Amino acid sequence: MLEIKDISVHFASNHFVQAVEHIDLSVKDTEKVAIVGETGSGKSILLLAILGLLPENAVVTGQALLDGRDLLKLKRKEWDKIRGAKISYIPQGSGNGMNPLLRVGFQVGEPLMEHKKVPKKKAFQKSIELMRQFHVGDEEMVARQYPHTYSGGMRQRAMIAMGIAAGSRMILADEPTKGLDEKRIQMVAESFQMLKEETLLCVTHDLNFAKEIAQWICVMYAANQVEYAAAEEIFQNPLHPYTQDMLLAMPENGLQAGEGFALSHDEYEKGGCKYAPRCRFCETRCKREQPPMAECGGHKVRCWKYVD
Amino acid sequence: MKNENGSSILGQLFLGGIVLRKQVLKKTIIALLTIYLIVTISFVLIHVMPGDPIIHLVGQEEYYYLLDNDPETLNQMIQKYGLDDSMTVQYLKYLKSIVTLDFGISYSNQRPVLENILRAAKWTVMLSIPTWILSGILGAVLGVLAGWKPGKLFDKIMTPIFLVLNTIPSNCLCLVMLIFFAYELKWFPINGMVSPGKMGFQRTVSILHHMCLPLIILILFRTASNFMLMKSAVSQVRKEEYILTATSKGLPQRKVLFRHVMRNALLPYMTSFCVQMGGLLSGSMIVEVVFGWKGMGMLMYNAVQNRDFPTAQFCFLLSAVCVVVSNLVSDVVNLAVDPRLKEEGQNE
Repeated sequence: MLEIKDISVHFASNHFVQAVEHIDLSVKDTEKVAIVGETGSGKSILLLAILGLLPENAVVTGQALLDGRDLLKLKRKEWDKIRGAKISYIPQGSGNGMNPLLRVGFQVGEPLMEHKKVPKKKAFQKSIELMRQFHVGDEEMVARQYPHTYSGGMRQRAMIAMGIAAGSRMILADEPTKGLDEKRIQMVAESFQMLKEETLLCVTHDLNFAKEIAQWICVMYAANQVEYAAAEEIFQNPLHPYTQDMLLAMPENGLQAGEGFALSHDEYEKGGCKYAPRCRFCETRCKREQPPMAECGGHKVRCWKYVD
Repeated sequence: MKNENGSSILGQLFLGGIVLRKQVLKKTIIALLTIYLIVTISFVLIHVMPGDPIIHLVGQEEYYYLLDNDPETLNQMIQKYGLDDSMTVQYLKYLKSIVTLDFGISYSNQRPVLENILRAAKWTVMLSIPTWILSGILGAVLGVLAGWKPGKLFDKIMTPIFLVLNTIPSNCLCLVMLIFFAYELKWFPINGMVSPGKMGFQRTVSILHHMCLPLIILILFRTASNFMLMKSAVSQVRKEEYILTATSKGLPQRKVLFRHVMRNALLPYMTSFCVQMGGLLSGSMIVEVVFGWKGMGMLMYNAVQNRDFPTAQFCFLLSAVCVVVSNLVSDVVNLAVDPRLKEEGQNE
């Protein structure tokens, strides 16, 4: 079980940038949770903060409890024992997430060699098995290839295999569908659906993909969590105006794009609801005061409409 | 490659070895062609220069003097150098002389050019090979340490030192070191290669003693540029996504550095290291001249000063060939190490 308690992240570089603000989230064992939101909403930063992989100028406050142990307090040596073994990270398949000079099979088996002390050859055999299981390819030759010969979809599926190679039960995935076409997205979704016993926290901006793989959806906007509910609830009965607008903007709902743009970071400190400038239901208090998280019909929603 | 199925990957892997061999062959042929072109261009250049080649050979004043007073001698010279032959014959003779390494007699000491070159090359190599290897290792190790933890104490001390060394002109540092270590402290001889009258073991010791100062200067300079290259390569690779992936697997820092960062950072470093090999025989002109080290740099310097045309031509051709060969070696090394290049070759 992963409990995220009041996590905030800011960057202490040249100017103060609040990347994640007071996020609370709890993911029970074998649950699948998707974090959705537009680019720059802080979802990937949240993921990296939980994993302790942010650059040194990032200041993370709050708690991330993995089975009761606070990850944010771990020393580097302790992290090395936990990352890959208890909690693993699946990078974007379309990006540069694999070392271009090492064979994919070796990289997939690397967590196994590190955490289970499995010899190199055995780890390679195991990664061939895993890659077969995730439909990366049936033949041993596929594992002997280098990452650049793979398509984005193949790389992504190989990375999912890599994430669970050492038996990690807590999987954090970062935008697994970025840069993939419809067919490949479907194949990646199928791979994620194969993770029955694992717990998944997946960051994505693809709502259809989120619907396919997740039971719970957390919607983020401008560093804040604005809504949290079961996946069907989010799609059938969205409460927060941002969630509603986001669903309206989906192609199958007629591509009705809302007006305005997300706040720039300079405007973050003004207070009030971050969505107020674009919100159809904006009232005077929305601009003055940040709404608290309200409970309403099984949803957690950060909007004044549902406070009373 | 866009395929999702394994079968074509199988074929591709099978092709991999053949593709590599084909690529190496192709690069070698290109290198040979380049050398041939250099040789030909150097011939054409001399023959399209305005004026009769004999004027360049004997000098303008001498030419007009001979033309007026002793045309017979002039004719003899023209015959001696084969300048009355047709262009084709001259070109073929020139090619033959290159293939047989017969570059004629040096004007300055009336000995075969090849003999002079071999003697000078021996002295140059004594300086250049230790410089190449030691600074290659030193630059890599220090560069990795600085690039892996940028902004830490080690980086803060080393980077300014090497930055200064990298920008200071070499003759300036040579003189400062000479004044300080040779003239004031008298630790090392001022110039020359060996003290006279020494034999056997004592001679070797004397040579090593004379080598110290030029070698230290050369190593310092080369290490500085190697350090800069390695540091920037490491700090660039550190930011790559696959390093984040490697850390997220729980690999200890040591393994992330050696298995993932170094492997990738060494690619540009290897290329530069191989290309440096091209300079092994040409030597450093400034250091050799300042220290009176009778190597290739000095030989070339004197050949140009004294219009010793055959020697200068051989030096020029030799360094051109060295550059081509070292580029070929770096291409082949890259092909062998970087799997992405094999792929590109196949798509051609």
